[in-house]
Amino acid sequence: MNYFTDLNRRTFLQRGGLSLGGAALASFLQPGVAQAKNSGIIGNNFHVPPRVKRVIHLCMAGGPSHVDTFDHKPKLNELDGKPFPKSFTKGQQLAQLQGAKLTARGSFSEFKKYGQSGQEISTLFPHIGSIADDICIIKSMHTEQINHDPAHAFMNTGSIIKGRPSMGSWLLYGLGSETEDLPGFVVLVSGGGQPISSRQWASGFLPSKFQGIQFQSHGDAVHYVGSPSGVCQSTQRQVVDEVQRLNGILSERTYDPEIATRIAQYEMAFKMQSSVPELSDMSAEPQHVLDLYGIKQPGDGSFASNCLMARRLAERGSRFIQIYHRGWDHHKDIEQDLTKRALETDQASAALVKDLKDRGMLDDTLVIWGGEFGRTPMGQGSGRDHHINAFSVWLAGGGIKGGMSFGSTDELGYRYIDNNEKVHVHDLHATMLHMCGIDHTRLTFRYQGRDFRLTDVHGHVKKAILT
Amino acid sequence: MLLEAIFPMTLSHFAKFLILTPVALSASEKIDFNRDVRPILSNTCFQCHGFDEADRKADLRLDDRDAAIAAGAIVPGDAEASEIIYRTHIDPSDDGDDELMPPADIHKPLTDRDREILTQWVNEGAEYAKHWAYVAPTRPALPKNSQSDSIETPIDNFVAAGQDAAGVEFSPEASSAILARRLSLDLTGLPPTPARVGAFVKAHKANADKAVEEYANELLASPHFGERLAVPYLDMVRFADTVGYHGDQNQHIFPYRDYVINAFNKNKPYDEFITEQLAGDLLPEADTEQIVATGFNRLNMMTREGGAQAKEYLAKYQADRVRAVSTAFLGSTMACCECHDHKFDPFSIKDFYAMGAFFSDVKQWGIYADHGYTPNPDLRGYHNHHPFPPEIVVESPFLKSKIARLWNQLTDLADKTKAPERIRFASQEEWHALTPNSIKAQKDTSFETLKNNIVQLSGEPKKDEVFTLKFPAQDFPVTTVKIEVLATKASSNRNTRDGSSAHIKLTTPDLEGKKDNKGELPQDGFLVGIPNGGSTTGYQDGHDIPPTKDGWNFGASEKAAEGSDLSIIYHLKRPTLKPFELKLHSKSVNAFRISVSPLVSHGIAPEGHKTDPKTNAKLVQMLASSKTPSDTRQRANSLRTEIAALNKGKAYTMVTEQRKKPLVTRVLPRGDWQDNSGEVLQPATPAFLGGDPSKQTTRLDLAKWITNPENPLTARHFVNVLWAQFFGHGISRTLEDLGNQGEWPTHPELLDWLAVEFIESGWDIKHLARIMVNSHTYRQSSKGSSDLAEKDPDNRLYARQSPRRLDAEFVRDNALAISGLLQSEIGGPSSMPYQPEGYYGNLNFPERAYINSRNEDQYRRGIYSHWQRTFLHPMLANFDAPSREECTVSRPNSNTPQQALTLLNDPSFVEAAHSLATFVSKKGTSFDSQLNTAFTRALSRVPSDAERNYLHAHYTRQLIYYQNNREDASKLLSTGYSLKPDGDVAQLAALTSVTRIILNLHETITRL
Repeated sequence: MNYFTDLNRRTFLQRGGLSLGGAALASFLQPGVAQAKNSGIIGNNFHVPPRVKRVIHLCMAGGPSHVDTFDHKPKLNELDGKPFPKSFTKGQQLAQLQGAKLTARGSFSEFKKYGQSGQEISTLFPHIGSIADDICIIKSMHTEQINHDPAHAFMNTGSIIKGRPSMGSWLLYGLGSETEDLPGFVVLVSGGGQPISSRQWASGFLPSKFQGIQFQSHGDAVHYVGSPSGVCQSTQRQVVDEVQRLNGILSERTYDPEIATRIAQYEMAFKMQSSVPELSDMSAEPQHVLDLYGIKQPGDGSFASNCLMARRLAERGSRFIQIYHRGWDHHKDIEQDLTKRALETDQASAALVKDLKDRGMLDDTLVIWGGEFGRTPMGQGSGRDHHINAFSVWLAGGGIKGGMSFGSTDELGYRYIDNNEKVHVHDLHATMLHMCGIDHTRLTFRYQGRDFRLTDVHGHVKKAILT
Repeated sequence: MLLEAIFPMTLSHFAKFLILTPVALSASEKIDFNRDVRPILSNTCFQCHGFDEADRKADLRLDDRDAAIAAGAIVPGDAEASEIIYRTHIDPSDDGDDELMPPADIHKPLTDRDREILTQWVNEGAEYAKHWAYVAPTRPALPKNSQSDSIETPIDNFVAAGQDAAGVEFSPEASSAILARRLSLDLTGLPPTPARVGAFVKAHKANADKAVEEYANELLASPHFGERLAVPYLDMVRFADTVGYHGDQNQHIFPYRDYVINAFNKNKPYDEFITEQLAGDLLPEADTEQIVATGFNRLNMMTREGGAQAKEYLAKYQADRVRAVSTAFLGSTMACCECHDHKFDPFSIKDFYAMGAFFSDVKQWGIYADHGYTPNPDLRGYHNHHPFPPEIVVESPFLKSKIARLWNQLTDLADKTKAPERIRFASQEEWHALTPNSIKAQKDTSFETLKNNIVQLSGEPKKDEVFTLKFPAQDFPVTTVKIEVLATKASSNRNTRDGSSAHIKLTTPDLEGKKDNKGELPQDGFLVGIPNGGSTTGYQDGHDIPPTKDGWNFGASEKAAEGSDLSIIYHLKRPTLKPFELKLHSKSVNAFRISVSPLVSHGIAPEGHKTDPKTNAKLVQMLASSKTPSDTRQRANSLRTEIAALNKGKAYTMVTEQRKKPLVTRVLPRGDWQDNSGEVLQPATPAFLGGDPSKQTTRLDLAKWITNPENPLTARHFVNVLWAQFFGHGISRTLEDLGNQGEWPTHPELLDWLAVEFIESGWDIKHLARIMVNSHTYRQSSKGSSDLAEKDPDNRLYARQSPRRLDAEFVRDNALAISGLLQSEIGGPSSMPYQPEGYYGNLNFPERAYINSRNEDQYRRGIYSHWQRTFLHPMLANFDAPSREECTVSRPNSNTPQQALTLLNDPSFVEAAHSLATFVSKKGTSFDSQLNTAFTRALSRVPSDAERNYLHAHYTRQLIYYQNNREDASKLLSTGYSLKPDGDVAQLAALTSVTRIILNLHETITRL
């Protein structure tokens, strides 16, 4: 595959005078070199003024019910237990409720006005309530895919065809990363329930260096980041040194720019071997920070611990950090299970926003909170089915107008109101890229003869939610 | 402008690249429409003024000369009068800005050169030509060139002519050792042995051409050639062990992979190969191999997610197939037409669905499950553990040879087990039918004992009946027990009494076991049950649940004829000379007979095997004697269990079966599966590519059309893809797209020459490979020079070979081969290389455990690695292997820190380093000779003095370290299952540190 770094690499070699053996190695391994490789295709030539440097996506996998969380529907409560009006549902795609008798199900949770803005939020989320003035709740989200697998694919890649790059990969491709020795796109997962797939953070047809790296909650945080048993750091360093040295000798014998890249990658790999453990070691985090997030045991793989990790990654320059919390697929027992999920995520989600704000980092970070779709205002036994016509997502961070709701649904929370404030997944992507300084129509990659975009041929930037 | 933004310091190089690339034309040369104009029109105009009628702007099309002229866009011979020239030459800063074409908002500005080309073209008469790839290739004459000394095969004529035009020339032949390694890695994916390199070097000195030809022939005949070619092929057909969607459950498909490997090895003509995969089941008197080939049509992703709608997923499966067929066989991007007519090529949305209609007879289900809200009467009771029908059972040569291997291990173990020959018995009869001493029916089912030891049941069948059968001690150790289900005359030749299916489970008390607190003996006396006929009672992760646990089912009519053998053989954990008791849990059985045997071989020895009495005595002795060490008995029993699980070498594989009535295919407007307004379609191939729709109804017709020598795409595509495997990139670089947006080939005549040669050779793949690797273009050195790098950075002129990092699977294969760990048997089920723990933690329905292969399967080639679509093995993913959810024609060849971490720290590579160190330490005593051996195995060369000195110094430092830290040495040497440290651990650990370096070298993972 031919793309720009080949040329950069080549030019570098020419500048460097081609001498890569023993002595010349040192000069080759200047930090600036690796950094240059991390720059994206856009570099500093932003299409629009960037508002944020990084994105943190808190993905509530399984599809949280909007009418029990962020979209208060008193009318639905009134209709509780009664037949759901056919005028809403006629001819629409449903998942497990297809063909079933449809009954309205009121929200089991209370809603309360929070903050000066008085945003209505379920009392299951008091901590998120406490940042009500910092967040913009989009209530008119809608998607095209009604099953988990394709819906996640759609939310992440803007397509259901496999092999398309995820939004994190697009961002890395466009902007590169600000960290040399940590992955620029990191994924963390907590909870159990519906399966998720690594394609959600795959780079698809983009070069694989743009793929998301999942941090593991057991063993090495990053695969193969630990030296083999019985190999201390000094030995590992010596092994890497000799690999570098011999590769340098090879580069004198044969003209192949890949060798120089290989040398740089080994250096970066070795750095990762110490920077990843340093990143994962949260022992220096003060107790009040742990308390803010509600972390019982740092590094325990909980959502709370992962949120703190996200902040640490953000500090160190990662571009896109995605945290999945599984278990929001409440076909049944929604009262009990949604309450549990809220307890697991509420405090840490809010803490992340507060912590970033305290450190002055919220101004250049975009935080996105939401699932891959919503849930039916109709009941399904003790739960709710998948729903694509409406769901809620909230955003916080640089350039987002806090304390506002954007878009709305009909009186029963069945469908987004079809006006300028409706937000399709493509619109969310377009807006996210816009905030990062990218015109979504101009971030393209030629594959199979076509210039592909994250937003396909769609997407509108929702400027109304931006300051 | 954009370029400067991206390459602030490299613009000058970029400019040179553009000029020196062979597609460029000199100012005086006449315009060639396909080469010069089409790329501009396609890239910047066709999306609004092209094939897609629905989206066409201003009713203007520029893909059609007459239409363009009629609209006044083009006035042939008069650029100034042509709207197209006027519109493309407006200064963007002018007020007339909104007339500028292409409009600014599509972000595809023309260059000055583009404008010059358009102008010259119009002035020269604006001649159009059909897109090169849509015209059947004809064989061009070999071009003249100035490098006659370097011409080995016709390929070189074309390449040399291109070089002449650009003022460069071939590099000299690569050194013979490098050439040997290149040939071996390219044709088999494995490194050559040092001995073979030595022989080649000698032969090459004597006669270079002959040496290359002979070695290439030898490698083409190697069974590993098929594995090598199968790796990229399996990417195209998206072969994987799991279904991909949602729960990503296991599917049965490995025999199809064996089919692909064997097809390449047998040099099956490519047209037959395609035909069998698309339509093997429709061939007259199709054999098993041809049916297995139709697994191709089943490699689409599948779901059993709750809440999925069958109709939606049937549409997804169909679209998946169209994308795969058009990309894998035609190099075309029909994917675009799922929603609308193609923007750049003449494919219409109708073409897309008409192609899909060929597959409307494929038996399949939208959801492979039976959910309450989406009932599926065909697959009643199907849940997450079930397989994905339809499947057939085939015999796997690999499994059969594995049975033989394990059986030999079992008899070897018996041979080596020293215990007094205590157990003696005369009988070597196969089976002794027995009448029980007593029979007790718990629920009082009535029965009688007939002659021939048959127990005939009568009266009403009782649910959950349990018979307790007592037998006297035999004069031989009872080792195996058989229960036959008999369709007697007394029961009107039926197996079961109520006409439905029946179920049997046999248990016996553990003869060595202690009674539990209720005074009962534990019921775990049987090791395994091996059925003959009947079926499993259920599935675990897609695999049959062994009948030992839950028993065995069979139908009323199955093998009901007199004398047939519907039976199950149970192996006792320990053979016994004592009286024994069996419990028969039965539902609705009519008649049965119990036999016992002293032979261990029943059901587990290789087919046709006859155990001699002595061997059997030793086996029984080992299993029964209380003197046998317990770990030996454990090993023996695990071997018996392992063999039994191999199911006599039979395996399931998904195939194509036909539906009784094909599904109705409609155009789905905008790809919307809920829209029923589209036209109903019959199968048809894309209209603009010819073919007679009235004669096209089946998948076989589709195959005939694809493999018709007149099809302009099929041969070109295959040739281009194969070329990329030997030369680093395609003659047209966009392997996935031969259409308008595809790259104009650097050597179009060469591509056509090869395509015609391929067709005329009878679609002979090995012939094609032979022409390629015998060429000088292939054989030349890859060293390159700064001058070449400057003139031709991407090596489009082939004035050198392109060094290339090995593909993911071969990176690991190479390390295993160098280290001596490789298990190189061909074919068989997937293996489980070491994988980081917990990697499947995000999977569910069912939850998945990954168990590393514990035996020699651990060291199988990467092509056999378990391919989990949603979580591909990290080693494979790090080295750019695709998930195989979608047809993939070319892998990126990236260079990342993750690759470095994998080679440094993945246990597979650490273990390989240890193994290599062990190997070389046995080959020589001095460090120098050890290093020579290691280098020769890895790189087909000895180290230079500098390399030797650096590594010797490293070795010395590490030796001191490990002598002072022997615990660390032992830890390093404990990675993996294969080896226990042998000899001085410090020395071996220090040497392992050196071999780790060797396995991490860029040169080791690169074919130069």
